[in-house]
Amino acid sequence: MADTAEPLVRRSSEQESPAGPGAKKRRTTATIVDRVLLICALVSLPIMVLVPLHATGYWMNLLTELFILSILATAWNIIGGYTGYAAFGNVAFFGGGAYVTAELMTRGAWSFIPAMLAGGLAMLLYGAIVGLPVLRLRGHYFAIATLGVAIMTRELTNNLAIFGASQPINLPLKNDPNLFYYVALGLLVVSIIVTYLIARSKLGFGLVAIRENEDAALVMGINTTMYKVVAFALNALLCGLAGGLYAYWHSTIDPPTVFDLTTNVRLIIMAVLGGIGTPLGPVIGAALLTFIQETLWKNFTNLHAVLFGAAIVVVVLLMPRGIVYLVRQKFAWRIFVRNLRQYRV
Amino acid sequence: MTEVVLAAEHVSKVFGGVTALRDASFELRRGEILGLIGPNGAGKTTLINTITGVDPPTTGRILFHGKDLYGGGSGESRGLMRGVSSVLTKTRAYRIGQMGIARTWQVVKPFQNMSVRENVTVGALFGTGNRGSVSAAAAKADEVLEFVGLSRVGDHAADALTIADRKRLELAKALAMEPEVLLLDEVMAGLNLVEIEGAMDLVRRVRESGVSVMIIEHVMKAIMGVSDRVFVMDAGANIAEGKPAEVINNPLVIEAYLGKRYAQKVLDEGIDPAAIVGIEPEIHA
Repeated sequence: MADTAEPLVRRSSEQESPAGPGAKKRRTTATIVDRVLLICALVSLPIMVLVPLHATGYWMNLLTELFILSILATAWNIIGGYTGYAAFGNVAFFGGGAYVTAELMTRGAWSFIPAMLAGGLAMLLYGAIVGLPVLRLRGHYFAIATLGVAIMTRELTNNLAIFGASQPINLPLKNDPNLFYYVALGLLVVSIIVTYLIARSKLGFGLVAIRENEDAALVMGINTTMYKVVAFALNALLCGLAGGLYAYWHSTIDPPTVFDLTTNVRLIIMAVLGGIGTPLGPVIGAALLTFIQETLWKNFTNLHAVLFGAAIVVVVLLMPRGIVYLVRQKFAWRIFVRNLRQYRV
Repeated sequence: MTEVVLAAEHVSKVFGGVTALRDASFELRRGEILGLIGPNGAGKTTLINTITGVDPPTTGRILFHGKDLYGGGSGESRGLMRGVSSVLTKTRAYRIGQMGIARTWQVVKPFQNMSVRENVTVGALFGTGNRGSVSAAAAKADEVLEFVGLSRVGDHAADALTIADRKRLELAKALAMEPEVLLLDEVMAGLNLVEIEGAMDLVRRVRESGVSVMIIEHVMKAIMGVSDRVFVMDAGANIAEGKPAEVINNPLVIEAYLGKRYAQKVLDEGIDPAAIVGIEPEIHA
């Protein structure tokens, strides 16, 4: 009797783990993919550093813009990807950083780097102040409120005399593509490192717990309000820095350009396309989206906006969790095929 | 008599026009297992919600080591002040977990996109241990996973677990917080008989490790077997308290579960109430 009882118990414990050995393997694949991505990033970094030696003006411009967009997508990933709060008003911080930098450089005659850092810090503060009330909202309500913050910030700059009252501000001209390229690359590397550090720290665990279940996180002793505000303010800091860089790079800024709401949408699409909640996903998404956009622009000048929109719809329908998840989960291609069938493509 | 760790004094909770708790009181003593039973809608989960700050009480006091968790700041104030005080108490909810009161959720709330080990690590990172380093917390998490018997699925995604393992994960997350008081909300619902035996054993081992436990359960066999004292609620108020055997023979309790007419019948015909109440979990499921 004892002989038969023994395997029975063991079998029941096996039944209790339906994920079985497959799940273990899946996680290992995930780790390998994460390592490969990290190695790719580390290998491409020196290549990126050497690019200005050979590249034409077109490529320098394109890459600088790509880096700035990647910084914005990476920043959004902290609040939208890790914390699960879909912020739709990040242009408020991008434009705010641009304006603070511009004002300091024109009126205050500050030099570029201190002005940009000041712009970032101002946005860190602004993000914390705005975040305290807005982060009490969840889901759609939060998204709408942040959109309101972006519009409010734009209208304030449009109407306040100290921000030029809707007249464009001209910054000192600087014709040095290498400077902008390297500052953008440096900021991008910093934001990726920040994301990596967050993901591995206590802060990261707290943020993901909030995303997964805020009530459970609160009861487990996580100061959810503080954690959300920290994530939102860090996101604002990175956006502000990118905005400061953008202002000097473009040398002319006005509210419609730097507070352009479509930028919000673009950078969220980049993060979602690449894979939210992963350190490198937003950068991959930004690169891919910029590539698609440029190709369409070159080949279908009249239709490119329509095709671009269609491409986004297809991507979101077929791989809602992004490219990084698609390559790192062993059976993710099945989900991809299932989605194909579901939408009768 | 041993020290009272956690107590509720005349706690009421009103949601709009619904009074979920009216004047509920109890005392949890150090190192005991206190069972909390009552028909559906009696306010058992609401009581746990008021203790853990999910829904602070409308009136009354929750005392942890004799100190009021809400500082008397909730409830009676009206209008703007009430809004302000509710914001403040809600913000304070995380401190209750850090002070040493942990709970599980009747509707389990795993962090689905985290592995089982990461779920438990969150508890060890925050909670009373409040560790700064992730690796120290992960070591504690492994210890807890071993204790509750989840080591074999530590690397699995939390949403891939069976019901029994999900309930165990709830317990593991709470235990990793190294609490002084553990509030268990139906950790045995939906388990089979063998799994219930395992869960009862686990609850006893938790108590032996020095944690005071309050347990809500519909599985009568389990709660009668595991509790030192049982406390019965009906319609938001407590109606009886005592040793498991006393409580189950209390006419008020039988009436709360079966209604007046059947309760009278049971008493008249001398049917063993334990057998009747014991049927209840299947009805509940």
